[in-house]
Formats: sequence, C-alpha cells, structure tokens
Amino acid sequence: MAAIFLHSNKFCREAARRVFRVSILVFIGLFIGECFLPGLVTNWFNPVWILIIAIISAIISQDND
Amino acid sequence: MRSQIMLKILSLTLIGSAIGLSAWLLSANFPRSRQLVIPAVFDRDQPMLTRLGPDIRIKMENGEALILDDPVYFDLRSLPWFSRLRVTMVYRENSRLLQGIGGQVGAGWQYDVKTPVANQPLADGYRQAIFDFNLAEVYQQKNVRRFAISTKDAGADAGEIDIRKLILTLYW
Repeated sequence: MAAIFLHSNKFCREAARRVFRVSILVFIGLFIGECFLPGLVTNWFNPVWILIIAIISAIISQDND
Repeated sequence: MRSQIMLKILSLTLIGSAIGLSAWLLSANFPRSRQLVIPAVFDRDQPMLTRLGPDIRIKMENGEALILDDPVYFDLRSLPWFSRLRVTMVYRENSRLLQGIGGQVGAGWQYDVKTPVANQPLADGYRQAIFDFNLAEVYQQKNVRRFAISTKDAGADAGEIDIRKLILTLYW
C-alpha cells in the first residue's frame, strides 16, 4: 500500500514537473510577445492564468522527501 | 512502464496544447477575412475598446449611450499591422448635433475631427454614419489610440445624441 502511494506520489511530481516546464515556457513566450506588441495576447485572454498553473505545478513538483 | 507511457502522453498533450494556443493566437491576430470587427459595449471596457467617457458626459438608457456634452472619448488598442479603421455609428440626434469623430493626431488635445464618408437615414429617426481612418495618421502610445466624438447643442436647451450602435472594423 505504501509502495503504491509512493509510486503515485512520484508520478504526480513528475507530471507536475512537465506541466511546469511547458506552462512557464508558454508564459515567458507570451510575456515577451506582449512586451513587444502590447495587446497581442491580452486583447484575447489574461496570460496570468498560465502563470498560476505554472506556480501550482511547481509547488506540487517539489520533492520534500 | 505504464506510468512512463502516461507521462509521454501528458508531455505530448501539453506540447500540442501550447502549439494549439499559438496557432489560435495567430489566427485571432491575423484574421483570414483581413478584418476584425469590434462592437462597442457601452457599459464596460473591453480589452480592445474602452467604453465611452468621461462618465459625466454619458448616460446609459435602455442599452443606448446618450451623449450629453462635448467631446466624448473612446480608446482603441490595435496591433500595428491593422492600417485602416472604419467606425460605424447608429445614432439619433435629439437637440444635439453630431459634428464628427476625430482621431488624436498629437500629444495633448489635438484631434482631427472628420465628417462621415456616408450618412444615411434609417427607420425610426436613427441615422447610420460611417467614418474611415488611416491609422498611420492617428497618434498612438503602446498601440492605444484615442478618438473623440464631437457634438454640439442644436438650440438653447441642452440636448443629447442617442447612440444605439458603435462598431469598429479594423483592416489589415
């Protein structure tokens, strides 16, 4: 039982790590685009939601063992 | 083994989503029809178009914006490749006359007020006016351009202009 829990925990952390990598890169790309062309992204949606996903996934991916 | 496959699927899904988001942003900013239509919403700001202001010169009534004084402004945020703007306004004069709409041409209070290129009567006393602008001639700061709707009183009493619709169409 403990092994299953530890395994799923490891899976969740690795999944969160991948989510973090993609979301932070997407956010940085959108941020740079918005800096050069104001309105390119924010005319359509608020990119801070992607940053929130990155932050949450970063917290989940922290290895506290 | 199974978790490795699931992680691979997750990675592919995330990368696919990122590519999809980029493709969607590209198609939104470069519409295939070469025009972007922005209908004004009089009671709130939108990302590309603010509401009419200042508030003291505007009154909302039955979904229409009433212009009580002169001038009234709105801000448009558009990307550099949109070179032309058409403003279509459906309005009714009520002891207040529409003089035109002008884009800001320099810092401060400098507006080039233009008369409509077309102005035709509609049913129930409303009129439809169309204004065309070359956005290269309109002063902009961080892709934001300000426009003024210029009006004047027709008689001794203060009148108003009822705006039923205000639609901005950007062309690239």
